[in-house]
Amino acid sequence: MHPYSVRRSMPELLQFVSASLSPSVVGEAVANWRELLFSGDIFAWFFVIMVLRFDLPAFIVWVINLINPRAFRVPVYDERDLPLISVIVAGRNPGAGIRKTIRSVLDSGYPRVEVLYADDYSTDDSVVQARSFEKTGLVRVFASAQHNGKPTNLNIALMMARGELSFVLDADAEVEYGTLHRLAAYFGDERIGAVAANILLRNNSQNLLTRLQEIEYALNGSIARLWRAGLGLLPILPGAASMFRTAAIREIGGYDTGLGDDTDMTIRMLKQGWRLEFALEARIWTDQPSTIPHLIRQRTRWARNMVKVRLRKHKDFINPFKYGWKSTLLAVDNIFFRLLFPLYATVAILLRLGFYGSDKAVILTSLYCLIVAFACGRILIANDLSRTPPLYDLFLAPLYPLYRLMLRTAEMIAIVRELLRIRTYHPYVPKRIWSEIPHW
Amino acid sequence: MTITNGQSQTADLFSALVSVRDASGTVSPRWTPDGDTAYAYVANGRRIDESALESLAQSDHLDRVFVERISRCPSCQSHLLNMREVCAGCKSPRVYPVELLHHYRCGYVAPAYEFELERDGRRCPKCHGVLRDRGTDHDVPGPHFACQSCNRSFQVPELGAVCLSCGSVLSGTDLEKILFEDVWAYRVSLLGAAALRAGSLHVADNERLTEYDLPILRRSVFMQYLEDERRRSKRFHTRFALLLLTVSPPADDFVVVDEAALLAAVVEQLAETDKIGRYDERHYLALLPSLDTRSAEKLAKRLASSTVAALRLWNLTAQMIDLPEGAPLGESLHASLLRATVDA
Repeated sequence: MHPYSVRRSMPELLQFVSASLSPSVVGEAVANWRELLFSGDIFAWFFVIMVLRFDLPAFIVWVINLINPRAFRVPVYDERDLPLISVIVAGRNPGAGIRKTIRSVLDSGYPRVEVLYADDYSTDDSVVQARSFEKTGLVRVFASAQHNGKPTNLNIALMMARGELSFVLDADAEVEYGTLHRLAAYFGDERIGAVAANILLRNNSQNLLTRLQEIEYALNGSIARLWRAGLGLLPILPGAASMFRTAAIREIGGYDTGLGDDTDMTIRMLKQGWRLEFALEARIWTDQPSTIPHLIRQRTRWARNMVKVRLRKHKDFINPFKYGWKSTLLAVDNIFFRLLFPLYATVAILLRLGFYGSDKAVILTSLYCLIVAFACGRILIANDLSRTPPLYDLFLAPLYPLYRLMLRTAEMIAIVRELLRIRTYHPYVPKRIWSEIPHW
Repeated sequence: MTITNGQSQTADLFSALVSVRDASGTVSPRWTPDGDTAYAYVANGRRIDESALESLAQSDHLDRVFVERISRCPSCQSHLLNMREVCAGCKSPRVYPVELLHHYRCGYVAPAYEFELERDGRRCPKCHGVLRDRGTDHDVPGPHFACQSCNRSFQVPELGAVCLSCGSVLSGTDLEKILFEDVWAYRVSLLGAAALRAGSLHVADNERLTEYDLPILRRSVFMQYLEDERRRSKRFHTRFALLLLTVSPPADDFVVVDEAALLAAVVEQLAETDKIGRYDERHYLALLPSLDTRSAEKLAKRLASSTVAALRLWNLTAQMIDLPEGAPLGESLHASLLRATVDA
């Protein structure tokens, strides 16, 4: 065998692997890491924090699921005890898409369901499309006389709802068969006030951007929400698909006007002491932005809402004596990982590059490779747990860190602008309402 | 059963025509809610049989004028059908309009009665803000109804009906079974006026096609020709043109040239295969088989100029009209004439 050849015979390979995993080698690696961390190397800390926060929980969830596959699944109701579900849809110009949405709900297999579509003064034929289902007796449509914004229309539909449970659904979403059963099952526990559905991309195969979003939704949506809900730390009930106990949502007066309806509602539910859950098996398919400008606009809106809602309107949520330690943990996690950690990571990488200037390429390449490797691991875990993203998305793992970097940069700019209150008006809110609402 | 011969039947019809003339030339339905038919035709205290009026209308002696549409129960044909708004869910007629209010500040939406009325305005139950002026700090998001039977609320109630005679309840697709009947008033037509002057109906064989003393086809006959031509055109892809002739009477009362002379002058300009008939009092239609649009337009110009030049005193305009395909002849003709009148 050539001395530089990497080819090894099977016995040699097994010997190599066993040597790599031998206690002495592992012990040496742990000792090295310990030394690095205690020496205050901020680059090492950056890496450890990232793994602990993002990768380790996903791995633990995966192991739990391996041991007990029923751990994250709730048995569905007996058909006789099914509560009435009011599916609440608010939309503006969804066009023919509203037909797909309503049809998917009616075909979801849940026998006790009603659909309430509140139209936000659409200029197309959405109302006509939705009204064509009214003859079924299961669909009711309310056409607003003027543009009011999404929260108001959700409130209108909520006011009309008769169900014990209300399922808030986007006008461009489709419900998978059995989803309503799975969501409703959680409400057997009286302490649960809302359950988030698992959102998947309907237009995932449209282009590269939507495929990368599919990976992101699986990693940061499905898997992250799964372990966070397990710890009682679910940060958001997505506005696209979440089910609420109608009495609970009515008790707090429905949605507040302004931006960030879902984030705001999540915190208000938590403040009321309700437990929030995430249903991995309750799958909803939605369309997401397929162009970069559209995606950046969406994420900018979300980032600004985060500042407005979490840091200003609900700043008291951090107080452990008022809302408990979980609220504090949620608030701290949000502030740290949305605001401080990206800054910390940037500084850590720059410092590392500064200290070891000659090894810039090696440092960046090894960092990139590590992140890609961990992303591959999380993709495999997500696929095993929720069947998305598909395994062929592993080929996109090298692009995933770059995609996240692009979004993080856009989000940071939006956060800074919102903190400095630069151009706070958002056209999604009608001006006559904007002039009346409190600006947090 | 009474058997009447043709002569007595014609006499009855003429008698009905005279009754209509005596009632200022028009007989309108009189509503009789207690009766079976819901209406009757009465002129000078004498009831006129509707079938006689209808026969006179079919023979062009009377013109129909639409008055009302009556709905009848599909089970018992009674007109005592109570139409009302019902709940889309339980079909109960216990639906009431509910005024909704939307508070801009907090986005709360609820029936107005939930916003407590105070001295300076209504108080929002969610944020406790005051709603002062509608349109500035709150508004009504839209019409809204509530059902007091099943507690369902909705924006557009359904239509339902109950027959007060047999008790049948109709809603949803059942409503399509409701029978509708058009009720007409009848007015003496030009032909009817001529018949009254002549003292008998124009029902002889040689009078069945053309108007009395005029070289034009009766309205019903012309319409049949037009319908046939339209079918032929569709079936064999042949073409035809339709001209609308609008005639205005002379301003000078001493003019001796009458309408018959004018129409005779028009007919002279037309080919033998062309047909001219009356549409209403001042409008005539000329059907020009196998004529293309360009030739028809030329003919229209020639008719307007040469006929008017010959008679000088009458105003006559001629214009081409298009008949939209698909719709029934009466509707498409009415729409085309309206458009042509507006264009003119």
